[in-house]
Amino acid sequence: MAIKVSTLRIWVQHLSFAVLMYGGRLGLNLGPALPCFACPYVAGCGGYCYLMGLQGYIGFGMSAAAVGSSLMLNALGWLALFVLMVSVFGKAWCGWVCPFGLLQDWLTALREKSGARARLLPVKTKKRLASIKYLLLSYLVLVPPLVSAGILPPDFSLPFCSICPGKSILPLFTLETRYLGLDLNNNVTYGFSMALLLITGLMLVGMFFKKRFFCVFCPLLALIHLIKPLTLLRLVKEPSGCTGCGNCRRVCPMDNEAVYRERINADVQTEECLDCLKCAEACPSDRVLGLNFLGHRLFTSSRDYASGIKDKK
Amino acid sequence: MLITRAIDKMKAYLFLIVILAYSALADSTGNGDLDRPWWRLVAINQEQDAAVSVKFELRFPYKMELIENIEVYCGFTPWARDKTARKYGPRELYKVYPAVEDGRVTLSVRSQRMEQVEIWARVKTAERLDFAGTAYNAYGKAPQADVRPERLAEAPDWPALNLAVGHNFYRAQTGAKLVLQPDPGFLPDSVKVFEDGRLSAVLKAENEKYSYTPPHDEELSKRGPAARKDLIFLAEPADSHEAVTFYLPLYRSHYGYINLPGGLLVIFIGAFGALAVVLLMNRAFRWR
Repeated sequence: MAIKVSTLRIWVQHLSFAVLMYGGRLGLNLGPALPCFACPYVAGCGGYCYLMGLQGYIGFGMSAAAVGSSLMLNALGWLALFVLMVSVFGKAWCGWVCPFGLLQDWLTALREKSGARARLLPVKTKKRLASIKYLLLSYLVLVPPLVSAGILPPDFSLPFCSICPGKSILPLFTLETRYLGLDLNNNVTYGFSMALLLITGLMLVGMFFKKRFFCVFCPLLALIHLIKPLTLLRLVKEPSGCTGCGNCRRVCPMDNEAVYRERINADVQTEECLDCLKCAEACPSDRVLGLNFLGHRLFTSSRDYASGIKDKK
Repeated sequence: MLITRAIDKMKAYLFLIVILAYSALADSTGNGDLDRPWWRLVAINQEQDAAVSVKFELRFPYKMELIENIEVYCGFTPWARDKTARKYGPRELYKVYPAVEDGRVTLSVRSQRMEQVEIWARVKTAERLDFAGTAYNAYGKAPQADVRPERLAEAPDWPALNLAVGHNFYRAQTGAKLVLQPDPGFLPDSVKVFEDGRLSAVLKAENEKYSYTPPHDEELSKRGPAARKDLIFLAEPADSHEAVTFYLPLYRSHYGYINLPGGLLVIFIGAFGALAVVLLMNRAFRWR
């Protein structure tokens, strides 16, 4: 019997988690261009989230010494690798690889076990919150040059990492509790640590009650979406075969309605989609939803497959 | 009455002048006033090819003409990778030649790879024989190997203070304990610590090691994570014409000033606020 996509995804997520969180202890270093939350604050991690590199490179790029240097080429090389990885695997980084995504899935499983009811964000609220990811992306791109120019103090050099809940939560898996404390070095570090820990508390509760709550705000998701025209891996829909049952909308961890509502275009790879394929698994119509790679269908929905999938709210 | 006031004013001015003169003197008495030779970090430069060059100056209290001889050698211990610090290569020793210009002795050390670098100097005058050492980690990533002259088979038999920490040591920080271990056969009664231009502590040996935790420095903390100040250890055996200094650039703490209970309280407040919002919204799943 063929393995189910959801089972395969869980295996891939856990394997990725182990590699990205502990791989460095075995000598693995996947570099600083990973399109997922592989947090550099985790001692012995197997690779770094690109957001940290991006902040550093942007800050560095503003200095005169950067022009034409091999460090500049190095930075461009990592950018190219990031774009390449996103082009090939698209949002699958979020749905299949991201350690912080898996952590959110664990909290969802915990909530389901506990019997607590899931909360959904009202559509208007969700739309407003979704724009925060672009604000965060702008923030992390615009602040480092101000540090390079000497307008802001050096403690602003990694503005997003300073408030990212991944920094406080993920190191706990290596028993590192340092980032759960207030940093009393100076007023800037104190302010950043205060904001970080408030966000951490808020996110922990949010992620418990709402599936993939952090992904709503994730600037990396926004950055990956900006490279969407280049991505080879795409969620596609055959609108003519859709019966409008709403299964895709119901099972989506991001409460994405675009797949359900699309009636004309085949491309349903929206900003919120994580390529987790839950919608395609739950779709009861043959060949209506599927995942394409360079035009080749990797997975497609079918009545037989859906009948074997337990529909979970 | 007027005369008394004038005298009081004069006293006040005199007091002010003394204070200002003392302050000016205190400002000028940096670590440069240490009366033994010591290395001082001048600059860390990222080279165009991603190598790292670190420039040191050898500071000494004598006139250049009084120095008969300066000998310097460096030890390089390469790391296999940054994440597997246990895999470090054997230490390579080289004799190096510092640049002497306008009475200043400087040494620029280029590292193409990730390695721990140790520098030792012997300064000989007619009356004294002093030794200065320092150590740091370099994170070079250049493709071309460094060209280093005059490799030595073994280290000269000079007395030295060494950092007794693993190769995971990143850099000296306020609030983090530093342990120094003298070379075998060289065990001074005490080691003095010079910080902020003055003697800040006298360390006694415990199990042939000296430990010191640099105190929090608010001024240093405000200047950012890359700001540093000079920290010098001085070992001077009694009845000896020899002194050994060990220099470390001291950075602000990464770990020393973390308030964990306060942080947990803030997380709790954030979580409680979010929980309150969830309960108040109490919005169930609804089709529109």
